[in-house]
Amino acid sequence: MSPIENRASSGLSRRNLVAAAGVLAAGGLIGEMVAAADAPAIAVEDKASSIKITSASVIPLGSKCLVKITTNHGITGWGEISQLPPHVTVALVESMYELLDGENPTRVEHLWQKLFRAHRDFRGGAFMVHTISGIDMALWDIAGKLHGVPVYRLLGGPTRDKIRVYPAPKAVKTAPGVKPASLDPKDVRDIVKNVEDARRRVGPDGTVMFDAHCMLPPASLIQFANAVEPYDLLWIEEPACPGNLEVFKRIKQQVRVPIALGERDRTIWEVIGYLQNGCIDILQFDCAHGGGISQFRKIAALCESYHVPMAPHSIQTFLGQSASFNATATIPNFLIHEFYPNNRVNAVLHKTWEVDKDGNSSLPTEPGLGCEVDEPAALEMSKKIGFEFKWPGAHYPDGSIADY
Amino acid sequence: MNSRNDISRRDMATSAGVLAAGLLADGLFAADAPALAVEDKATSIKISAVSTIPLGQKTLVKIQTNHGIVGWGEITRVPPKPACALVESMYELLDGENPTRVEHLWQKLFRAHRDFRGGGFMVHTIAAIDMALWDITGKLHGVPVYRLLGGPTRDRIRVYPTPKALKTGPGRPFTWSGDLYEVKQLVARVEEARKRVGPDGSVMFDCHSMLPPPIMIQFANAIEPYDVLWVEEVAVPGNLEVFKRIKQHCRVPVALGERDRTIWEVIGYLQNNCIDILQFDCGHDGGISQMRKAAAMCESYHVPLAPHCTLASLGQSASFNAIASIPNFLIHEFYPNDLKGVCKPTWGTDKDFNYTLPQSPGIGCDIDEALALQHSKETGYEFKWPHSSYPDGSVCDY
Repeated sequence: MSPIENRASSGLSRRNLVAAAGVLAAGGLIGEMVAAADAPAIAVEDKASSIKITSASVIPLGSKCLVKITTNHGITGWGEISQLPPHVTVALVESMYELLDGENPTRVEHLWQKLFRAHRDFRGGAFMVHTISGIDMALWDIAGKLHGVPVYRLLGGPTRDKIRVYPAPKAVKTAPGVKPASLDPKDVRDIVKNVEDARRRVGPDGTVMFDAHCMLPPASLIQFANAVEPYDLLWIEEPACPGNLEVFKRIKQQVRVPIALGERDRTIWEVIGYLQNGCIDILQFDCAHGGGISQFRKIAALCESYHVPMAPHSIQTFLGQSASFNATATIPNFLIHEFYPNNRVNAVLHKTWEVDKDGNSSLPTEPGLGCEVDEPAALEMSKKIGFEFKWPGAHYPDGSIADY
Repeated sequence: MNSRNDISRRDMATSAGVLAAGLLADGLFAADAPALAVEDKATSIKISAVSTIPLGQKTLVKIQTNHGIVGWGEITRVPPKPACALVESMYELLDGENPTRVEHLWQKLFRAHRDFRGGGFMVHTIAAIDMALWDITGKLHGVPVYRLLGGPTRDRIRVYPTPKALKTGPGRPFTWSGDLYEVKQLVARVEEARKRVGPDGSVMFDCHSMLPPPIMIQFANAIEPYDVLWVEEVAVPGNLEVFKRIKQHCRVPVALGERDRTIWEVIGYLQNNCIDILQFDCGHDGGISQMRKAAAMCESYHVPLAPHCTLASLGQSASFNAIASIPNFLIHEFYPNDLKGVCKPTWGTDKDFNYTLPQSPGIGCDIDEALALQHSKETGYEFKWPHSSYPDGSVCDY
């Protein structure tokens, strides 16, 4: 076993060392690992860099698959492929590996483009973009580990000291709480009551959000939005199913409560229309749905130019959450981050950040994404729940298909 | 039931016509058979199995029912392993359902998971399932599918390429810069095509998303004298403002749509007057069900359909059935591909390359399953990501 592999096998302590020694120490580490004395060049000269992707594999964990990318220098990157049926995820990553094999993993932008634009008929769509998102996270993880710094150091550095998250004692989100249905104004009153209750819980200085979750038809949504104006909502989320901008224009013209959406709008190409047409006030980009850290950064820039802040959507494990936190740490236009700690997959993940009692998270502290995967534990868990998946589906009382 | 019996049974059904519901009753239940054609709850036909036959770029989907009727559809271009895994996963949503509830099942699949609406993998797969469901429905009622879609609106279908209808293109991706010399080379290709078809022929130009907007606009203006039927795929889909900018500066008709899936990705072009012709692809964009809806939207904007097609004869049959039933049709793309003898279409052509409508119940293309399985053993999982780059090594669209 080479000294490099030795270091990799005692991964956590090596990274602690690097973190403590600081960025400049990384030069020595990289030089030792990769090339000779003129090591700094490898950080900028791809052609001089000898790091190469040697494999990609998937650990299926139900609707959260972990993707692992290994390199010829013992550095390993991890990403999260979220929500897809695990059999399909495995087949997709296996198929797309053809485009990654032997590539320099630090060329994250190039590889993002190579994957997204590899086949003219498959730009976009969840199966493609959720998978690329997981791969993008893993590539950034490798790049950060190679340079010995948290990923946010590679993205222009941190723009804030902590990240505000919700739900928290003073920030709650409520929802229609009814089965999807065409609504009568009297039903609208019940939904208004949910908002009233939430406002009472957080007090006058707390934050209340409302997630319409595409369950209210436009006419009802507009009636509802106007009725809840007195309760000072931070936003109304997902007022309609994505697909036709005219619907969002119509809603926006008649609603004065801020509109947030974006968890199902992938890549800059599906976000730009909302901005151009003044349809949104807040963008809820999801790092695992929308194209990973690389797209997160671009979309944040687009939004910045439209005075639209980011309030990232997240139902990810600690791993995807770490990726999203790294991107969030570097953008100027941030509002609040979604965070649910109770995913079962978190049992095999070790994060390097903490959320305090007021709902503020520290920044990740380790090189890469700042979340380590306990691989043996993950493989063990995979044996039990690996291929669990069920298509959700939703329908109206009359049996017809509903959005949810 | 073997496929040979299948054919003769269907032939019988065709000659006897729709009212030969005796056949249906025979297959399904008692004398009050007409009800089962309209009353889903009274119908006992159910999906009993779905399977796939990977053939490289094309994966055949076979849907079986409890009454021996089998439907076939074509998943195009999806890497075969993910295609098979997707169908296997989505079967959960089809198992035991009534296959004639095509619209309901389309909605059930497309809207089953809030995060997966749209996208090539999802919609190409649904498109094939949609074809297979229509195939079953046509076979159940003993008629070609276009009879169930309002009936034929035309007697034959004009296709290209033919000696009198040619498409040309740039031949290579252009970088962001480009000069007028290069534009002249492109114009020469159009001139050459015009010479070949003569003054009464049709010339089309497929930019194939390979020309950056400034080149595209200069080029489109330079070819005005050659009476091009359309310029195709003027830019990569994604930002309507790009298409508005091109359309404002370009007087040659603009056609696109092969990568714009479902009504949701078409409506924006229509609302913003970005296109003159829609090139809906039955295998890419959501199957017969979406083709009918997209056609209706286009009709209201005075936009005809000129379907894109790189499908094998099976998908081509599905597309022909939809086209046979819409009023706003221009011309259909067509490259013969029977998957090395696997597809047996029931339509043919006259000397001027006008195709007859499909002739047999369902989508009008029989499948030689044994041969398909044999080919599948040899080449089933062959797939390569195309991936195209500029001379400087950066990734390019193509």
